[in-house]
Amino acid sequence: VSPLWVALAAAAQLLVLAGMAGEREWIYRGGRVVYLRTAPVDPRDLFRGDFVRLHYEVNSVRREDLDATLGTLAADRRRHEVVYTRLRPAGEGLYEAAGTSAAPPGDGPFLRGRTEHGWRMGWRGTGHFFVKYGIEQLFVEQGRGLDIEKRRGGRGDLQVPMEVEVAVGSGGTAVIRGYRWSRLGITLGGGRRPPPRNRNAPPPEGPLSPKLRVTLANTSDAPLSVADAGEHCAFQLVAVEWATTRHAPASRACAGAPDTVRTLALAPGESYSVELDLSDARWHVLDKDKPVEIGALTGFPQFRIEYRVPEAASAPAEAPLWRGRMLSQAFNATGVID
Amino acid sequence: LSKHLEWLKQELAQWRAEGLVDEALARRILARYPVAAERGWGRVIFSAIGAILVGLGVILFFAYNWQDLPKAAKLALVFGALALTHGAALGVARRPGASRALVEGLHVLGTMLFGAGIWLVAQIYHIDEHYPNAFLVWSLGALAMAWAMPSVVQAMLALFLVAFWAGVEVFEFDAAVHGAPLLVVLGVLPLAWWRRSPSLLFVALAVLFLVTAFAVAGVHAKAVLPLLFLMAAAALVAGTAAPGTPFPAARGPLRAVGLLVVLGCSYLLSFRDLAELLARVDFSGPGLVVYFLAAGAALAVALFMLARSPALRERYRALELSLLACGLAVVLAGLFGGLPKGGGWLALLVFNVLVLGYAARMILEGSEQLRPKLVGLGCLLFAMIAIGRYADLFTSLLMRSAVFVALGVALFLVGNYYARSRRRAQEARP
Repeated sequence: VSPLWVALAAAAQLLVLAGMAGEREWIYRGGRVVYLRTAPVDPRDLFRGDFVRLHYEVNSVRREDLDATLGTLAADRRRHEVVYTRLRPAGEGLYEAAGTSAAPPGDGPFLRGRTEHGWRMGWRGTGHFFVKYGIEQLFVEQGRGLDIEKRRGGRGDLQVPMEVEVAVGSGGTAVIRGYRWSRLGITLGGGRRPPPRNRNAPPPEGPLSPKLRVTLANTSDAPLSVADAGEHCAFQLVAVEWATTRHAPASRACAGAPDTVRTLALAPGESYSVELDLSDARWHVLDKDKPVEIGALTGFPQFRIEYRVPEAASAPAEAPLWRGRMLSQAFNATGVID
Repeated sequence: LSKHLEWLKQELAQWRAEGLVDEALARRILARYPVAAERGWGRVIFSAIGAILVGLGVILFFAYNWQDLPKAAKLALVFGALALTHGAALGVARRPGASRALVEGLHVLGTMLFGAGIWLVAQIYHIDEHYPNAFLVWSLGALAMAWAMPSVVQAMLALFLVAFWAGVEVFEFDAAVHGAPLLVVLGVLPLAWWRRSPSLLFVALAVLFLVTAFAVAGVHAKAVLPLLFLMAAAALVAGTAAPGTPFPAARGPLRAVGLLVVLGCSYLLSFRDLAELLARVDFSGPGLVVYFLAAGAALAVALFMLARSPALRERYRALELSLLACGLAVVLAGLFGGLPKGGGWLALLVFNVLVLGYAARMILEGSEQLRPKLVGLGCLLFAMIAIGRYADLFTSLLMRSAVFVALGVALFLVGNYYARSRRRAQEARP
């Protein structure tokens, strides 16, 4: 036995570990810091005791957000392709995806990831695909995962998105530095549900779409403001990320909404609730250029309610306006919440 | 050997008591069979298992992810433990008369800590990369130690990790990893040859067949059976020829693994549906041709070795190799479009005969050499082929009853033949 060779082999093991830790530590200390919001908690989010699986909004890349160089990627469903997702500010210190390309962008922060598909990542259609950035697990002490799960909320509960602090290296490699909680939480509650549909019978009389209650709650320990306008124009109906068809809104009711902006100051723990009747013309969407209720759409479309502060809104300094974008849990046209 | 020595000691005591030998003669007889030099294998294995268990304990400790432990302390712990363990092993090895088992055990613990370190660094920095890669990196670390020391235990640890890596890739990610067979062929088989280690060769061959099956299944599942048959035939032939090489002890592992896989593949190919797949192998899959070329080349080299080997003159070898040649001919004909229309029946016939022939060879050879395990294995093969045909060939209850009657009669005859062989052997004693 040559001690030199053995020492070299042992040193190689040490060097591999040092390389792994050194690269991440370098980014942790010197990388550009951004906050990424986790996606709404759907039941398939898994907690495995000692780590929390994170699903960010930037994980879901819609086909229309692909760079031309990646045009065939989604169709081919190729796996483990290296891609780069550009980031842009989205209010509240958060960043959101601004397109995905095969080559690193020339400027601005971006994340380096790999395409994924399959049941593990919740593939549910061809309208989008998943990109993993290597930051989808948050390791916590055994048992703490449940605390985080409770805070994030489950079906029918107040959902509070995590805002994960990430350091991004010059090559797009991301390292988790920590996390904070969104100052605003959202609850989607069921209300009136339409009668069951029978494909072979003509549509029943009356509303075909559900009535839902959306609640925004101040989850911080300081006052903050939210704003609404017109016929609840701060709220929009959006298709889920995995939808293959996206229906444009048919109503123009919110076109002149800035005139009717109203701001509401919320004390810590206080909430603002609205009831949205999706049968109203305000919520109709275009299907083959005709305005229809979502309950009249064929297939099994799923949606979310998006809250976004009207641009014209303002608030006093003692209760600053929450300037972000908040997505509810997914629901379908019969009012079943995911 | 120690069991035989124990037996001899007891017999000598009895002979002395009966006055057949005196004390001096008994000592001289016993001196002819010295106790083999203690290779420390038992202690090495216990040390290695102990090290692996301690390493697993450390991994679980880190998995708990104690939040009160700062990042720097965690890193210091894993780097310090790794350096200290390998350093201690190097220090112990420098001492005259150092225990090989202790040195080996400490280095194995170091490699376990290396694996723990990979997961811990991933945990500290919340890295969620493609996790099978961690097994690959870990196995490379073990392999480096295996060559540097050299160490059979480290090589076996590396093999286990390679198998795990390839398995996770194919079952979790549906990905074919061609690097796994390559790693075994280039990284471990030469080490087994260099160290003349039959145990390492056995495990390496078993893992090679396993990871090759994983990799090829990920490309084209229909190619798995014929490829494994070719590889196993090469191993069986090489094992038969091994006594004429500088590594005669390779005979056991090569023949054991080769025979097991040849018989397993032949049994599966004795079912018509599977035999007909032979003609449907598509070589266009990435890397598939390379696998078949490599297996073909290995078989050619093994045949060349066999042609120069005295093993051909052994009884039953000609029967065994003729049966193998028939199986090979059908596999190659199937692969290259040489099977006639309805060739499934021909393949079915050949592979049934092959399995039955091997069963007969085992029963005859085992009876002659009074090896009951070999006879039992032959009977098991015989029963398996009968049950297989019961399921897929004979639909008439009359025929099925005939199969079982024939099987029962055959086993009765085997028992009778074995008893006669045993009696003849006893009568032949002076």
